Amino acid sequence: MTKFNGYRRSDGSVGVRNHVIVINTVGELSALARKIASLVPGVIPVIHHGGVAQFPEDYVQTLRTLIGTAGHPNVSAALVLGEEDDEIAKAIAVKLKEKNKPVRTICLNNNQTIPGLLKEGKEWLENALVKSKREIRQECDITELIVGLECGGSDAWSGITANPSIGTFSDMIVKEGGTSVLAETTEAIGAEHILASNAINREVGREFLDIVRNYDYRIKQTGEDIRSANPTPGNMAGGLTTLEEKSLGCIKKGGSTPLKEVISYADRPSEKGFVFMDTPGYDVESVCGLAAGGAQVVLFSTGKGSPTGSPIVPVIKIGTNPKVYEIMSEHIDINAGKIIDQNKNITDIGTEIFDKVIDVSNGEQTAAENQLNQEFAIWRLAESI
Amino acid sequence: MEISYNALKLNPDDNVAVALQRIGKSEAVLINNSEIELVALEEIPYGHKIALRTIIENDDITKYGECMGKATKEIPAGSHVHVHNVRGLNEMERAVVINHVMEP
Amino acid sequence: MAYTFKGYLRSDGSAGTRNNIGIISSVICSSTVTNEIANRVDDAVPIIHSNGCAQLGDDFKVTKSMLSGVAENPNFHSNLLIGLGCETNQVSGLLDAIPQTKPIEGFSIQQMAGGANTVAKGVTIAAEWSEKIAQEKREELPLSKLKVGVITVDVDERTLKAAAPVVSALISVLLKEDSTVVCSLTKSLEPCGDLLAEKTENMNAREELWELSYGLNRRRWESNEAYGFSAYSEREKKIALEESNLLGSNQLQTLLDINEKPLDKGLYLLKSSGNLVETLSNFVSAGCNVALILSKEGVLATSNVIPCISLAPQNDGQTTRDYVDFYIDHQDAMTQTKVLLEKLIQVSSGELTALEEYELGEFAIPHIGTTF
Repeated sequence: MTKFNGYRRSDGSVGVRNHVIVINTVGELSALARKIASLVPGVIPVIHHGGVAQFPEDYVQTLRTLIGTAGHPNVSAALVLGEEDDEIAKAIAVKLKEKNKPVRTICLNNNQTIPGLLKEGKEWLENALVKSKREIRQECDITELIVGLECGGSDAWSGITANPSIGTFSDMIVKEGGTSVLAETTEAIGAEHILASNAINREVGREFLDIVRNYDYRIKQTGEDIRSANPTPGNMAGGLTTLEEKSLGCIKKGGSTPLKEVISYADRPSEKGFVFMDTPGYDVESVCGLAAGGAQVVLFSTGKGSPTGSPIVPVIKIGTNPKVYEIMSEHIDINAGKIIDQNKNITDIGTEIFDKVIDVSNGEQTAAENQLNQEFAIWRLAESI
Repeated sequence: MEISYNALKLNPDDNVAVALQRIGKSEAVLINNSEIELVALEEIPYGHKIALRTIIENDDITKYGECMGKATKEIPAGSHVHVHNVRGLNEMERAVVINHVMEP
Repeated sequence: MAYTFKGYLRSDGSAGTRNNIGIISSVICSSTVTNEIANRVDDAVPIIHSNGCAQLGDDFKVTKSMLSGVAENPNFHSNLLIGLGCETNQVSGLLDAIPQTKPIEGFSIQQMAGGANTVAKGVTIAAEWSEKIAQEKREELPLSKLKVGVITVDVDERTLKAAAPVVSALISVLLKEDSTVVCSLTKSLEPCGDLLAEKTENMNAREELWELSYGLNRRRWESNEAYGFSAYSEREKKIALEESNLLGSNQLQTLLDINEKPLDKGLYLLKSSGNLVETLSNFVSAGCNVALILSKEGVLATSNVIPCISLAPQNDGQTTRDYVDFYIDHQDAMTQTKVLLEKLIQVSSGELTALEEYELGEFAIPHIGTTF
C-alpha cells in the first residue's frame, strides 16, 4: 500500500499541511482578521464576508464551512475572531476542542481596544506557530487521503487530456482504499445519467439525479437556459459542440469507479471510495466546500490557466494543453498536454498525478502555494437580508 | 518527440476522433491504436472532431463511448463534426435517457 | 454662512474626499494578483471580492454594476481593472460600462500570460498615476459636492432615540447646503415603509415602500414562493418608527435600488442589507464620498474607498472605544450637530477616521441569488 508522511491529529485524521490560521465569524471582522494575520508571518488569513444578515439556508452552510475549515486536519491551530456572545465562534471552539485542536476565540467586549486585540491575537499566534513547528510528520496510509476533483477555466482539451487522467488517478486511489470527491453539480448537467447509472445502488443514483435536476430548475428560475449558454462561444471555437459533450468531459474526472455516496456542500464523506459533493461550478466556492468537507488535497484541471488556490489545502493544477502549460507555467504543476504532442497516454499522466499527490502530501509545495493563492469563498444561496 | 498519430479516438465505440493538430484537406488521418484508413474530406481544426465512419441523419454521435448529440444530416467519413451537423439532445430525449437509468 | 470642505474636483463635476487609485478585480480568481499590485503602489486600493463568475441574471448584474459604480466613485483618481480572462464578468464589458471620465486601463492574467507579467504591467501603470496624484492639491469646495451616506447597522431603540435629534438636524443642514444625503433602507426601517411613502412624490417609490412595509421579502434558496416572505411584528414596526426619525421631517426624493446613483440633490433611501461591508460597498458604488455609520457600540470595519465616521450613543459608565469617532451624549442637540458637522467637514477634507487609522477598510459585493 502507498504511504506518505502526514500530521496525525488526535481525532485520528491526517493532515498534509500544518497551518496556523485566523478565521473571522462575521463579515464585519474581516478587516481585523486580515490585520492580525499580517502581524505574524506564516499565519494564514481565512477571510469571508458572510455569517451575518443571512437566512438559515446560508447561515447553516456558512457555519458548516467555517467549522470544517478551522477543524480541518491540515490546520494545526486556529484563532477565531468573533463578536460579543458570538454563536459561530462558540460552535467552532466546541468542535475544535472536541478534536483537541489548539483554538483561541477572541470575542469583542466592552473593555477592548484595537491595539489590545491586535496584541492579544499576535501573541497567541506566535505561540501557536512555535508549537506547530514542533509537530512532526509520521508515516500514514493512502487510505487516510481524501482528494477533491475540480476543473476551472476549461477548454476543449479538458475532457480529452487532464480530466480522464484525473479519472485514472481517482480509480487508482480508490482501488488503494482512499477517497476521491468529484464536485460541481452544474457541470454534470447533460451527463448525469452516466454517473447515476454508475452508482452503487438506486438510492445513490436517485440522489444524484435529484441534485442535478434542482440545479437545472434554479438556472431556469433566473431566466437563463443552461443549454443556450453552453457550450460557450469560446468552447465552440475550441471544438466543443454540445452541452452533453462538455459535461461528459467534466465527469471524466470521476473515472470508472462506482459512485458510493452523494454529500452536501462542505459535508464530510461518511465512507471511503468515490463520492460526489453538491457544489456550484464556481471554482473557488467549490474548492472551499471540498476542503471544508475534509479533502486534504485538491486536483484542479485548467485549460485557460487559473491561478486560484485555497488557504488550507494544496491545490494541484493540471494544464490540459501544451500551450497553457508553457505560458502559465508559474500557475501549473502538471502538463497533461503531453497527451497531445508527446505520445503520452491517459495512464501515463494519471500515474504522474498519483505520484504528484503523494509528493505534495509529503510536503512539496504546489504552484498555487508558491504564489500565495489563498482564495476563500463560501457558496452563497439566498439574498442578504 | 515525433508523434505517430494525429487524431485521438477516446473509446473503442466512438464514431468520432479528436484532431491533435490541424489536419488539412486530403491529409491522412492517423488514429491512435487503430488501423482505420481515413482521409480528411475538409480541414479539421486543432481540437475539433472528425467522423471515423459515415454517420446517418439522427444517429448518435459517440465520444467517450457515450452519446454526445445527434447528427442533423448525413456526415460522411472524414468530415468535420461540429455545430453545423450535430445538435444536443432535446428535453424529451434527455428524459428518456434519464428515466432509463432508474428502470429496474 | 455657506460651509466648505477641501476636496479633489473631478472632470465630471464630482468631488473626491480621498485621492486614490482603484485596483479592481473583476473576479475572485484575479484577487491575489490585484492585491499584489495594490501593495506595491502608493495610493492604490485593492477592490477584491468573491464574485465575478458562474453568476446568472440579476445576481450577475449586481456584481457588474457594483464594480462599475465603484470605479466611478469620485474618490478614485484612476482605475486599473484586473481580470483572469475566462470569467463571466469580462474586463472588456466593465470598460464599456464605465464612463470614460478619468484614467482607466484593464487587462487579464490569461492575456498577459501569467500573474507575474500582470503584476509587473499593473505596477508600472498605477505607479505613473500615483506620481500624478502626488502633484494634486485639495481645493475649497461647497458642501453641495458632498454625497453623504447615512448607514444604520444593528441599531436598537435606545441608540435611535439618542441619535435621532442630532442625525436628523445634521441631515437638514446638509440638505440646506444642497448636499446629497443617502440613507440606508434595511429590514429595520422597512416596516414603516408606508409612512416613508408619504415623504416622497415619486409614485414608483411610494408603491415600493408600501409593499416593503408588509413584511420581509427577499430571494431565497427554497423554491416555494411563500418561503421568501414573513410579516413584520408590532415590535419591529415600533423600532422602524424610531429609525425613521433619523430623517427628520425632510422630504424624500426617491428610493434607490442596489448600486443606483442619486440623479439629483436631496434626500434618498438606498436598499441595503444588514451586512455592513456589503452595504458600505453599495454606498461607494452609489457615488457617496463620505458616510456616517450609526451603531450601538461602534463597528470594526469601514469602507476602503470612502471615509466613514462611526457614531454611537454614549452610555453612563461605559468605556469609550477607540474606534468610535463620535459619541452622542445628553448634551444639547444643536451643539452636538455643530460638532458633528465640523467633524464631517474635517474628515471630508482629509482627516483620517479612527477605522482609517487602523487600516480596517474592506469591500464586498452583495449576492441577490446563488452562484452556479
